[in-house]
Amino acid sequence: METYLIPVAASFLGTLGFSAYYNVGLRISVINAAAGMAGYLIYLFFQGQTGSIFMSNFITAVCMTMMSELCARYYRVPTTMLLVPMLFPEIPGGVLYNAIWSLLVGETEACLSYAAELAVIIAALNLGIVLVTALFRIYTNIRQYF
Amino acid sequence: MSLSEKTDEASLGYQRIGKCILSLGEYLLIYGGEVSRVEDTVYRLGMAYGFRSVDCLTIMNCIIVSFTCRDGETFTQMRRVLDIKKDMERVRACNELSRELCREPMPAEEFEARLSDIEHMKGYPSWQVCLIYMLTSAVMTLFFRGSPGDAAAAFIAGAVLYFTGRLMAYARVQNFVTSYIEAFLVGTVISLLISLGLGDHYDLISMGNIMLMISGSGLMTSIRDMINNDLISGMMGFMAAVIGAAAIALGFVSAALLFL
Repeated sequence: METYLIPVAASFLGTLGFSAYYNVGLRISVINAAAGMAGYLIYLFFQGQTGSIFMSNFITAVCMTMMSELCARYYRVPTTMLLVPMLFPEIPGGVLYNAIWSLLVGETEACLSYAAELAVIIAALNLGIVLVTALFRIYTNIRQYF
Repeated sequence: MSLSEKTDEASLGYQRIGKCILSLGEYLLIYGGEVSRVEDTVYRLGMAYGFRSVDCLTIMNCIIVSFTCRDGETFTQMRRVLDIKKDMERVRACNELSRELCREPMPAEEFEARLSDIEHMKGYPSWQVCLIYMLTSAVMTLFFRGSPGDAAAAFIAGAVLYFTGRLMAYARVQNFVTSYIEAFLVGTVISLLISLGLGDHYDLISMGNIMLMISGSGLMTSIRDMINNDLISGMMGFMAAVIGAAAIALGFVSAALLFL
């Protein structure tokens, strides 16, 4: 439990900082930070349960996109303003660094392994985003007729 | 006033409104809105202002709009977008202005004044932005399970990242080169700090800084663009994000290989 305390707290503060970096106002930044931390907890939970990088990232992306779509409607702000910071802890910066490092020091196998992990994370995050965005769009379009 | 003069005046009025609508679309694109949002906004505003039809094509760094007036006259305007500066508060302001205009179109003068307000909106002051860079870098190093010493090194490197970024804005070179130089300089400073005894893990300190530099939004926006059938913009955005990320990682890694 203690092992995760600092990364979880850091996910809150990191998302807060990233929101401010994109010049998001304080109120929305705090919402983003709380959601970013919740997203990281969801990621850790499903990573522990399934052991799959794809599933944990996919489910996190689904939850965060739903949260951002709902908050965007409630606070009347663009979804991008919420979604991008909320998924900040899941951005695979570490994996990218390791992939390039392995490439430059000639560890081809490790590089390919990191590159594959990178591709899986990006695919999972985007699939989650696309799925929920499409569902919300279908709902919005149908609602226009009723 | 003769009929032709009246027609010219009406045409000029339409062109002025068209220019304002295009400017709003341009701001959305510059400050981080998706391509579909830009096209949708331009279309809705055009219809709200009484154009008979509006055809808008937007790609990552260009907007082309063709307006057809009530009298059948058509004119086309184009705007090239060179600099993308992510600023979500400005995207929100553009969105709000667009909603207001769709509810009740305002005269061109007022529209121009509101656009000028958006352009001159103030963000966080420079010292706060610098502090945000420093704190976020330090916190993300802790996120990657770095030690307090690593976080302190990332904190200092965050300030270097901020000032390097500001300096490189004047250089006006390709994004790949800018990203590489920024990353290389920050990487060099991290190597120096480690050799001075501050921090132990170059990789974790670098990752803390990398997280701020990688265009996560570029990656996600581009995928959303692709899903929205804006394949050209999506592919361009995706490639730009991937190349930018590679340049950043390359900068950090090459500094480590040289100085560590």
